[in-house]
Amino acid sequence: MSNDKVSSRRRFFVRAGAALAVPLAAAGAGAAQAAVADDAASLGARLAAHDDLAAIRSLRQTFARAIGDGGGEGLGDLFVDRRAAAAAAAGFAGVRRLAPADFGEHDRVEIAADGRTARAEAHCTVETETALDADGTLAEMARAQGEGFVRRAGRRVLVIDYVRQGETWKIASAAFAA
Amino acid sequence: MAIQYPREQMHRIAYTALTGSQISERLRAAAAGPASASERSDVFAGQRIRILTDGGPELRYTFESASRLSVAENGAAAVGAGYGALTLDHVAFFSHLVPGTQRGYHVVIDRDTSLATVFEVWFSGYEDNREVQRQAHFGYVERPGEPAPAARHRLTNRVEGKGYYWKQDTGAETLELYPSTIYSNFVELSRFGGELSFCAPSDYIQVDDETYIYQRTECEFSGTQTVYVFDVNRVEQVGARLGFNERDELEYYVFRGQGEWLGQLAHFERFGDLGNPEPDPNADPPAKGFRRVYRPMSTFQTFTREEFDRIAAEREPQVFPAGPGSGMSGNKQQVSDYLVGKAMTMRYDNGPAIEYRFDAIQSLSWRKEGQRGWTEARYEAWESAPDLVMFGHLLAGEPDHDCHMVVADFEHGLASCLHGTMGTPYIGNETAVENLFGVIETEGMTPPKYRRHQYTDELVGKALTWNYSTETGLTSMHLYSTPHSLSWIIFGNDGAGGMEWSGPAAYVKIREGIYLGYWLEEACNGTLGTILINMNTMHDCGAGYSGGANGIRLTAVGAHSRHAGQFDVRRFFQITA
Repeated sequence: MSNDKVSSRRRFFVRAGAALAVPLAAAGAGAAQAAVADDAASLGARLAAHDDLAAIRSLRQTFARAIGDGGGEGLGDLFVDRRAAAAAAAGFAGVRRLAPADFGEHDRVEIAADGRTARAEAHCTVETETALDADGTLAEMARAQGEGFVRRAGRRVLVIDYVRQGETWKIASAAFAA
Repeated sequence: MAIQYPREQMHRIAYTALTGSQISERLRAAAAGPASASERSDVFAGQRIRILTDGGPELRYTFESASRLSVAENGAAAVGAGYGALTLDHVAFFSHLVPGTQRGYHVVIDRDTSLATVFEVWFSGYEDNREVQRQAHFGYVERPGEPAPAARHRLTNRVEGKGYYWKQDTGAETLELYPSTIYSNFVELSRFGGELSFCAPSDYIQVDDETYIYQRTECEFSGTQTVYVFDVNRVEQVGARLGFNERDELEYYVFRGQGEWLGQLAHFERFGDLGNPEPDPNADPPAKGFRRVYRPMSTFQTFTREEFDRIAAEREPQVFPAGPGSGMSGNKQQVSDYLVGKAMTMRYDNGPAIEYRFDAIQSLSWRKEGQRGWTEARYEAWESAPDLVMFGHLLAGEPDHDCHMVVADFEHGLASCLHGTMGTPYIGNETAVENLFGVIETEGMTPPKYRRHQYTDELVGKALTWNYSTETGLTSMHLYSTPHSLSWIIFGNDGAGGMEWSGPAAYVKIREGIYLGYWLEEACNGTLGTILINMNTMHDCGAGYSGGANGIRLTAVGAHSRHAGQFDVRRFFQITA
């Protein structure tokens, strides 16, 4: 399956009257209730909001997998352009795994009122691998057996800005929160 | 009969770079098959067997007698060869070369299960032609009318941590220690006098719960291969040795041996990890004959003594610099101010008397007794135990870029020094060392007249892990393999023992559970490692002293330790005559 396009079902999309700020774990019901409350909207609006959140979540998951696979070519189609993809690849150099933390309980997605941009904050467990900065015999031997890396794991908040391009959400930028 | 110590130990022998034609010439004698001190087994005589391997050769054998066979490889025409077979209970081993080639096979067959391991071996497969190359193929002996078995012999970590004394029917005696899953450590008791241990890339294969196959190739040395199947209950082995010795003579024989179990070191893999993971279906298979080999001399930048003198004159020595350095100081002990403000003389029985003034926590002044002027030096000191301090510094102006690593025991008034110097008859920037023993002379203390720190074998056979940095995780294991050598093993990410190397060493007892040790990375990276091992705190302190293109370097070492076990080997190094 190609990961290069994550589309929403536009035929059901009706722009929400206000930004959606919802826990991702409760994306379906929570988003729909928010949309309904603000806009007294139709079933179409609720489904559109649901689809946008699903598309954004899927894009984030694809991005996390691509980072875990070493970034590179896998990132290109997820971003609005090559420059953005390259910037993200550089920013995540050394990251070997991005896994959701706390079952997404603290994650948030905000879709702008005009429905054209969105921002997601996802709490992650991050595993990094960097080359061992040492030059002695032990380090040399570790490298000779295919290792010689420092591996760390920690918690970070991944912030992704999205832009809608036609029917498809794309990533404008991705970085860890400071 | 006197022990025949070699003129040079294995790591100093300049083994001949044999050409392909020289190897072919020497292998002609092997057409008759391997020699054997024991009577060869006739277990295969008169039989025909077909061995099928997974991704490897199909071999059809016709055994005409106990010493002659013909083999057809992959359906090609059969060729005749001499062979030798030996059995070990239900397992049969045989070995032969293919006449007219530089190739051959060592075959292990479990006669109960019909499973087979075939070691395909060949020469001239690496830039050093004499280094035996090998590929283990797993398969089975076809049994007509029966389906192919699903099981296979397999790589294992079940041998990891074991150690044995072996005596072959040739009379050759060795200690063979397996602290790794890809390397092993061997002490040639009879061939080389047993002073030092050496390391070689190795394979470990499980036949069944009590039967294993071991293979090592003495890469970076003679390139000789030793392969055997052994029974861990009976402690018996049958196998073969193939290669060219230091006189470039072909050694090709099958052997039978008996041994003694020497101990078992700890495993550091997770529970349930048996060292035989399924291969990654997405990864490219390794090239035929692939093995991880540590080749330190291929990366060590060597200089003549004259060249290194120029380098050392032009480049400021690095003495306890900040930064990662060798990566071995992340868990170093806190730098001690114990000596600050003190003055003393270290009077060595077999060396100079050095007068000291410790001016600050990292600054001292020294002079040899009788000299007028003082020389300032940067130093570091660590207090390993109450009133027991190790400190080190360079001796600027001395002829050999000298270094002193001193253990000063103020409770007993004793001082021991590892006097490092730069340059050996072999390499200009390789370190050498001598142990100096003596006393501390300082105000308010009367040192002993006769008592001194002494060499000890209490560490010999022990294995300790050393974690040099909590931050980076850099960890190795020391195996104090003989009274005169130390081996170090690098762990893999899964906790399995990995790359291993060894160097000359010595151990001095300082206090109960506290030892001063050194190792020399001879024909390796040239470094002198000095450590004060405190088995009460399970923490060490010390320094590494080395020389390279950047000049002289003296860097701190410090690590947290764990006990990994002990081999019962001290008895092999006692003077018995």
